[in-house]
Amino acid sequence: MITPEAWAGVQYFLDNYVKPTADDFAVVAYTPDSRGPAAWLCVALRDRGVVVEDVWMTPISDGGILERFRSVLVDPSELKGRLIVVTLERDTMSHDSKIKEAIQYFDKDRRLIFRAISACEELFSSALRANPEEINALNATLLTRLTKARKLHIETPSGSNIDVVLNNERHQWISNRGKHRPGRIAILPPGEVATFPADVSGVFVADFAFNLNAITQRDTRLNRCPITVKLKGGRAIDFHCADEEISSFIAQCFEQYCASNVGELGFGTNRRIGDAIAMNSHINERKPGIHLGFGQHNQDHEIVAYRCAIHLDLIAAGGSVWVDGDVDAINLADFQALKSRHPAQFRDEDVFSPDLEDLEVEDCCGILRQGQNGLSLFEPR
Amino acid sequence: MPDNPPDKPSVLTKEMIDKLKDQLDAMEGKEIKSGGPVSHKPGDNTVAWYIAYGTS
Repeated sequence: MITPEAWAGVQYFLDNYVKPTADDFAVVAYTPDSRGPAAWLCVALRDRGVVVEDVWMTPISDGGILERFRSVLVDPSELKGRLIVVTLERDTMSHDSKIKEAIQYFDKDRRLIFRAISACEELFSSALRANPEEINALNATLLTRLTKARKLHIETPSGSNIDVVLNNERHQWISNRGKHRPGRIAILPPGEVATFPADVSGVFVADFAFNLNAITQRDTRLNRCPITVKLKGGRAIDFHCADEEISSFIAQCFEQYCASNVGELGFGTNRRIGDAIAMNSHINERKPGIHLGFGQHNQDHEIVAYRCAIHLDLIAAGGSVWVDGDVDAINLADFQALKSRHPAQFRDEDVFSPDLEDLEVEDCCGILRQGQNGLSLFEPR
Repeated sequence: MPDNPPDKPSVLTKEMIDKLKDQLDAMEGKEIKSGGPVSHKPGDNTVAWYIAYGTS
């Protein structure tokens, strides 16, 4: 039901991320795939004297979630402490707007909202054992260097050799660090900085895992069958994987409109992530190293105009980054965190609820189909 | 850089496991058992092109 390691992770999360007091009021919302982790949190919070309510939700489409969420809330004027909201989902990130609407009358300085994707044992036993202050310091150190950079050269132990052009005047950085800012949502698992590469060329070898924003039961680990991608002009122009099934799967992804575009250059900064896990998971892309996200980018659409239904992360463990021709490289696995202040201009959220209005399409890559019985899956081949 | 503080003792006692079981039972009784767009799970070797979340 729960391992001692996961239970210790639940306690660590509460001690270092949430820091609840008996005056706080907590809501734990969960999809059925995350009932177990939600129960762990509810029991642990109650054990500390915190009043906690659990709220179930169906993933992505749930007409009753707003009313169900509102029904458990206390009157904001009667709350002495903070409103703590933790949502837990395994494959999805659902109902952003409804949850925000439900809690809108609570003072934003007294709201603490954590939204977790990839809820599973390893979320607690490894990813949430990283101290958010440590991640904050690592992110700040990287951002201090990278937000002033124009060109990067990146190599990885797997054999990657790529050159990146950055346009920091135009493209924003995202910092996922497990720390909460008033009025914002902190996405879990924590530990990443990322931006959009203005250009990227070379050869990228992903030897850790892939992570796709769709539901798949595949084993995502790539340690036995790395994926090699040739890049030119910010696009994948060829790829190879010795495993036929994975190769076919990746080919299906790249066939989607704009999915060959490199939409993200990301650096994982969670040093508690060890080996890759099999589950399609954000935990893997927080691994210290480099990942390229193909397909949908991480910028405003006024800045980068294309839209892609999918986002496929290919992840390489470790790596070295040379900034603007520097002799010394940043070793992503063990660089020293400096006493840099975290830049103020960044985005917290790298995951959000899909817009159902955009997804109810029946074109060549129809993601959801509107049928007589509501939304249903479209499964190719 | 701050070090990770030592873990607090967090022994998983039988009492705690019993509480977890009770909590799980209570939650399962409240939920919708089926329906919803992801009740149709893909097989081992298929991809459901179901956008599970957006990226920024």
